[in-house]
Amino acid sequence: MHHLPRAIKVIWYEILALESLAWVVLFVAYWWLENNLWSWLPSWGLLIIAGLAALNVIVELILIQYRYAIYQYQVSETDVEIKKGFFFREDISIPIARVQNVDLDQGPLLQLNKLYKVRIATGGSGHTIEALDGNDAQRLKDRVMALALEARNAR
Amino acid sequence: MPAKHLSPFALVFELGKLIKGSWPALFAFVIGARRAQGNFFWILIAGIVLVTVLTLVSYWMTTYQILDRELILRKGIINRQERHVPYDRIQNLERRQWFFLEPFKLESLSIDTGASDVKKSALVLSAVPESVAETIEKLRHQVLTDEKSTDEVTPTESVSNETGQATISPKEGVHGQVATAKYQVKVGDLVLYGITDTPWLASFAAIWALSSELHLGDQIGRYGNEAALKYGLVAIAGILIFVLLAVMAFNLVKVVLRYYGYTVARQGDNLTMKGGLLKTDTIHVTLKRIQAVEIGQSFLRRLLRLVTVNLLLIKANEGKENAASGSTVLIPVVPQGRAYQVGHPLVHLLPEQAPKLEYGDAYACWLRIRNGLIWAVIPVIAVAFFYHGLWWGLASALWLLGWGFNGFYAGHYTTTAQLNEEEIVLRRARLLGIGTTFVGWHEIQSMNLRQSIWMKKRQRAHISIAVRQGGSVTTREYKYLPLSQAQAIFDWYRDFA
Repeated sequence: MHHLPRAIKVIWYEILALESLAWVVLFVAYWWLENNLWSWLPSWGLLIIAGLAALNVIVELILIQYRYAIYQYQVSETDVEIKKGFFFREDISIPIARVQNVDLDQGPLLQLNKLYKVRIATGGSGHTIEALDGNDAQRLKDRVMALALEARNAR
Repeated sequence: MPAKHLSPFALVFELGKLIKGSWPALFAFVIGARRAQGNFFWILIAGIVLVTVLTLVSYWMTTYQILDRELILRKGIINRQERHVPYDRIQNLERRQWFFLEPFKLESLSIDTGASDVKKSALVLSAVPESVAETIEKLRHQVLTDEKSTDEVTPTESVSNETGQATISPKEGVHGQVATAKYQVKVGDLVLYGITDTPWLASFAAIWALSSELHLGDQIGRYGNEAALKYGLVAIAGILIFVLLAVMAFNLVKVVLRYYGYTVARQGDNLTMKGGLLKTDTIHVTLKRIQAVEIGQSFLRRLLRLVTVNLLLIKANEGKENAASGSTVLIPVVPQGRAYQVGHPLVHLLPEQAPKLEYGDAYACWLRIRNGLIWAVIPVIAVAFFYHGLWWGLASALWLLGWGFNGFYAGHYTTTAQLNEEEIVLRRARLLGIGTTFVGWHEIQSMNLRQSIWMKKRQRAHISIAVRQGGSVTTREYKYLPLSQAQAIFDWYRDFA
C-alpha cells in the first residue's frame, strides 16, 4: 500500500491555518457585534468561541499526523483499494472492471503544491485519492485505465 | 421506409406537456390577469396564438424513420437534431397507451438508446401506431440474431409459474418466442396492496388540494366545530378516521388504475411488464440492465404477508426534471410464501427459495435504539421549553417508544450474507419496512467498509455498496454488522477471481 506524498501534510496545515483564520474572524466579529450592536450577547460567548477554536485547532493538528499515517492506497490488477480515516475508518474497494474513467483535478491549494486529486469514476459514482504528485498521478491514471481496458476486453 | 410524422394526437400530448411544464408561469399569469384588464387580455391571446403556432411547427418538423438497422428521429425548429438509434443498442422499450387511443391503435413509445450518457439516452415518440414498436422489436431481434453466432442460448426451461389464471401460450411474445416464465397479479392481492400503500404525504397533499377546490374544508370545519363542541374527542377521532379512509381509498384507486391486470413475463433476454386500467403501460427490459433485485415489505404488508419485488435498473431519464429515483416494480404484490418461487424464473438473481438469514444481535439492536433515541430526544427537549404537561409527557413517551422500536427493528433485521460464488444478499429495515437486496458481484460498483474507533473495539462495521440505478447510482448502507460478517463480504468483493 502506498501513502500520500508528504506534501499533503503541508496542505492540511495550510487548510488548518485558514480555518483558524476563520475562527479569529468569528471571534472579532462577535466582539465587535457585542460591543456595538447587539449588547444582549453574553460576553462568555467569547470564551466559548475561543475554547472551541483552541480545541478544534489542537485536535486537527494531532489528527493530521494520524490521518497521514492511515491514508493509503493500492492499485492491483483486480482492484483499487483506498484506506482512510482515523476516527471513522473506511476501507474502499473498487474493481478495475468497474472503473470507467480516471480524472485528475487541482484546486488552488493543490496547484500551488503541484499535486493532483485523483478521481476514480465507476458507473455513476466515484472515489477520490486526495493528492498525488504529477508523475504518480499520471502513472496511476495510465495504469488503472490500461487495466480497465484489459478487463473490458476480456469480458 | 420514408420518414413519417407522429400521429396528430401527438399535438395533444405536446400541449399537455407544455401546460404541465409552464403551469407556474401560467398560474402567475392568470392571477395577474384577474387584476389587470384590457391590454392584458390581448397579451394573453397573443401568447396563446404563439404557443399554438410553435406547437404546430414543432409537430411538423418532427419525423421518424424506420430503417433496416436503425431508427432515425429528426426534430427541432431552429436547431435541427438527427438522432440515430441502431437497433442492437436499444436496451429498454416503454409503451404507454391511454384508453382513448386504444381504438386507434396508437401509443406513446419511449426508447432507451443505451447511450453512455444515461441522462440523455431516452427517445420519446409521443403518439405512434402500435406497429412501430412491433416492427422495431422484430428488426431488433433480426439484427441481434444476425450478429450472434449459432450457439445462441435458447431458453430450455419450461417452468411455468402462474397463479392459476395465466397460461403460457405459444403465441406469447412479439416474434413468436415462447415466454419462459410469467406471472399475473391477483386482484385480491392488488386491493390489499392498495389499501396498505403509504405515500401519506403525497396523498394528503392531493386530498388537501382537492378539498380546497371543493371548499370541503369549510364544510368539514363547520361541522367539525359543532361536533367538537358537542362530542369532543370522539368527533376529532371520527374526523381523523374519515381522513384516513379517504387516503386509503385514494391510494387504492391509484394502485388499481396503475396495476390492473398486471402481468410480467420473461422471453429470452427480455422482461416484459404490462398493466394499467386507464393507461396501459408496457415495459420491455433487457436483462442485462438489471443491476439488483429487491424484495420489499412495509410493516403493514408484513402483517398481511405480502411483498413487493423491485428491480434496480439502468434506465434512461426521459428528460424530466426529476428522474424516476425509485426502483422499477417487477411484481407489485405477491404472497410472501410464493415470492421466490414466482420471481426466480423471471430474474435468476433471485434464489428459488428464501435464503436463511441471521438476525442482528442484542448489541446491534441496542446501538440502533441508542442512535435513534439521541436524535428523537432533541425535539422533545425543544418542546419542553414551551410546554411540559401531561399531554407533552404522553406524546413524548409515545414518540420515544416509537423511535426505540424502530431502532430495535432496524438492528434486528440488518444482516448480510454471501448467497453463492457470484452473489450476495443484504437486508436492512427502514422505518419498519424491510428490504432484502440481491446483487451480483459485477453489478456492485464499489464497496466500502467503515468503522469508527469505538466500533473497532467492539468488532462491528458498516458495509455500503454502490449500485447503478436509473441515471445515476444508489448507495445502500448496512450498519453495525459483526466484523466477521462484514469482513467476509468485503474480502469476497475484493478477492473475487
